[in-house]
Amino acid sequence: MSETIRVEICAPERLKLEFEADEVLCPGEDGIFSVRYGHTLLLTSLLPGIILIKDTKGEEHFYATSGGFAEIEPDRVLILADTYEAGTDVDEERAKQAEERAQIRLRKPESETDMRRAELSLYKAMARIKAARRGGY
Amino acid sequence: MAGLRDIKRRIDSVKSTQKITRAMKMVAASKLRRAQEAIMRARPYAFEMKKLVSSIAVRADGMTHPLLRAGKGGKVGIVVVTSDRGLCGGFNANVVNNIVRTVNSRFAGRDVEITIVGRKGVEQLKRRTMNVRATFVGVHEGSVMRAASYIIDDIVADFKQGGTDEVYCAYNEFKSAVQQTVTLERLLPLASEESEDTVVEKIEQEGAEDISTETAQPMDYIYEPDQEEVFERLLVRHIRIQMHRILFESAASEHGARMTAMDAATRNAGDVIERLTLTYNRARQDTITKELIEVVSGAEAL
Repeated sequence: MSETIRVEICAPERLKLEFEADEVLCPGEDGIFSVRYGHTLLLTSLLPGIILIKDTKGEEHFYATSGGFAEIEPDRVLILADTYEAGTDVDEERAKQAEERAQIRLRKPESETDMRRAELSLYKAMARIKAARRGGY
Repeated sequence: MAGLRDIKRRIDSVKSTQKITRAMKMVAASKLRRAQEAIMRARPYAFEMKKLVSSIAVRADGMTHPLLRAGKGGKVGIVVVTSDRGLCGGFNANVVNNIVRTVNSRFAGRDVEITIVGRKGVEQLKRRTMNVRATFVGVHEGSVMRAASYIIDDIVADFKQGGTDEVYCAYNEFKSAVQQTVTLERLLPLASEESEDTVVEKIEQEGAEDISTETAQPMDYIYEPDQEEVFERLLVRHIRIQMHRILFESAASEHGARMTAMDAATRNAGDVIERLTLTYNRARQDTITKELIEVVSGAEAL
């Protein structure tokens, strides 16, 4: 019964969210990983992607993030996101536009840093769309 | 009485001043509300970040990240956060006086270099003979996050190279709309085992904030991608976030201080108006009485 994890998500200028969950999926630096009760201590940076929280009531919560950090303890997951957005709050139209813009920019190569930024914004936009569609995993 | 018109003019002038102070109070109140929401949103993240950094600093034994190294008593860097605008009571003077006092007592004899944020701080500290590294104005006009990075990145780089041994930040911490506390918070080096948490000096009230750093656990984290990389990113991010939070703290405090100051000014203006009106009425009465006496004595003379 008590084998649940407490999930906390915060980001600058956003309220902190808390869940009691059975499982969490995060876009880690070395790939997507899943956390269940009893996970070993882990500190990882996150890439832009989807955070999926399966709460104890069987509901699934999708959040798009642009990256950040996650601290994992056996009974607790703390996500320090740079930004996060609930899938239900995503404006899909705008996310799609952002995706297109990023793709256009990627097609005509400019300076190194611009490419890196375009790539990141593409990933962010893709994450937002996926979160809106409750997909990605 | 010749002063009648003069008094009238003064009453009008005070009244228009009162109108301005009242308007400023209202503006400050509405800005305060927004700033207060912003700080309430900024705090949890900054707080969790700080907790995480303290806990890894304790656990990661033998890890020698440049931002964790303890100072050797060399140069001290202080970031002084003030406001761009005045008319906010003792808001800026409190920080400035606190800094001058700290530099002369706690850091007496040490090489101190300050970075000033806010036009008022620049104006007030320019007159003192202090070693100024950089000044920033208008930080709340654009992205506060970008401003925070801009301010702190250069200082962090200097610290990494060993140019500075300790970095502090002096600012008005937001307690409530009517209470702001000047706080001197240590930014660098980041909390390590012997030097616990940030050294916080409170003038008026003690902070309720206590960060329970658990006793060092033998178990360390698994780091992804690797410890060094995660540390580097996390620590740099942490510093920026703290600066970001401080700028918000200061902004909320500023609006609170201005609201209080303008409320007092409005009330004072009310008192002055009341007194002047009394004087005015008395003077008017005097004139009438004098005229009456003249008329009566004129009639009697006939």
